[in-house]
Amino acid sequence: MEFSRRDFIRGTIAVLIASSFPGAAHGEEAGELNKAHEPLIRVPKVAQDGRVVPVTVDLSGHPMEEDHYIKSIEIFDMQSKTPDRGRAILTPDVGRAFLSTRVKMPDGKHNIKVVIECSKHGRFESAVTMSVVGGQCKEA
Amino acid sequence: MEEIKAGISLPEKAERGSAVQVRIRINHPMTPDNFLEKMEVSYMGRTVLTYRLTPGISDNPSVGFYLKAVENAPVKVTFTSNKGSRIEAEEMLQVHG
Repeated sequence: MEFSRRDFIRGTIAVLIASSFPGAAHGEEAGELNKAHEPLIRVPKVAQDGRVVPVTVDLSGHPMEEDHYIKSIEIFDMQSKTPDRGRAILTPDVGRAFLSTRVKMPDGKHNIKVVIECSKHGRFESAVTMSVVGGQCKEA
Repeated sequence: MEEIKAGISLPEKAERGSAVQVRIRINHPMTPDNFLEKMEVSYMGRTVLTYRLTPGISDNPSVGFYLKAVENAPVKVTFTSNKGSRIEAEEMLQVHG
């Protein structure tokens, strides 16, 4: 099989593009990276008071060293007109990637999205679903 | 008018080098017109955590995070509201070992 100079250049560009995105690993490597950056997200399955819904994000197994740490944790309520439910910017001085907060959600089913940013591997998204009942939170 | 107070909960004593859980509470509304937009925590002269809040966070925010215990020093928190007001609090972290 003959490789032309054009084939060589195309191949090189493809490899460079694939390796330039943080977190864009492939196959087994991608699976392991995703697992290493998947937080434990604790929310009530059914919240009784939408004014104070507890949300905890915990990535206790992830290093928090100067050269490798979780830089931020963001929470979104995807059903809200204003989904942003806060962003914690961490430093290695916290020692553990963890955030516990309370958010507002009106009644209904909610898809809670969490975005983690790792200083070395980039951004990773996770999501959980939950419901709110009770009618106490009119808007959020 | 009710005074706005922030409180920091720390363990009584922390083992040097361990990550300890911290909880910060503050009584403040979180409405689109009047809300806390930033919480900054410092320890040993450095900012260790910044939390950007939105009106979608519950009134009277209660925030939990961890802090690596290094030495006896105050943990300080500063809240800033969208109206420019600042609320501060501090609590001493006692470290042993």
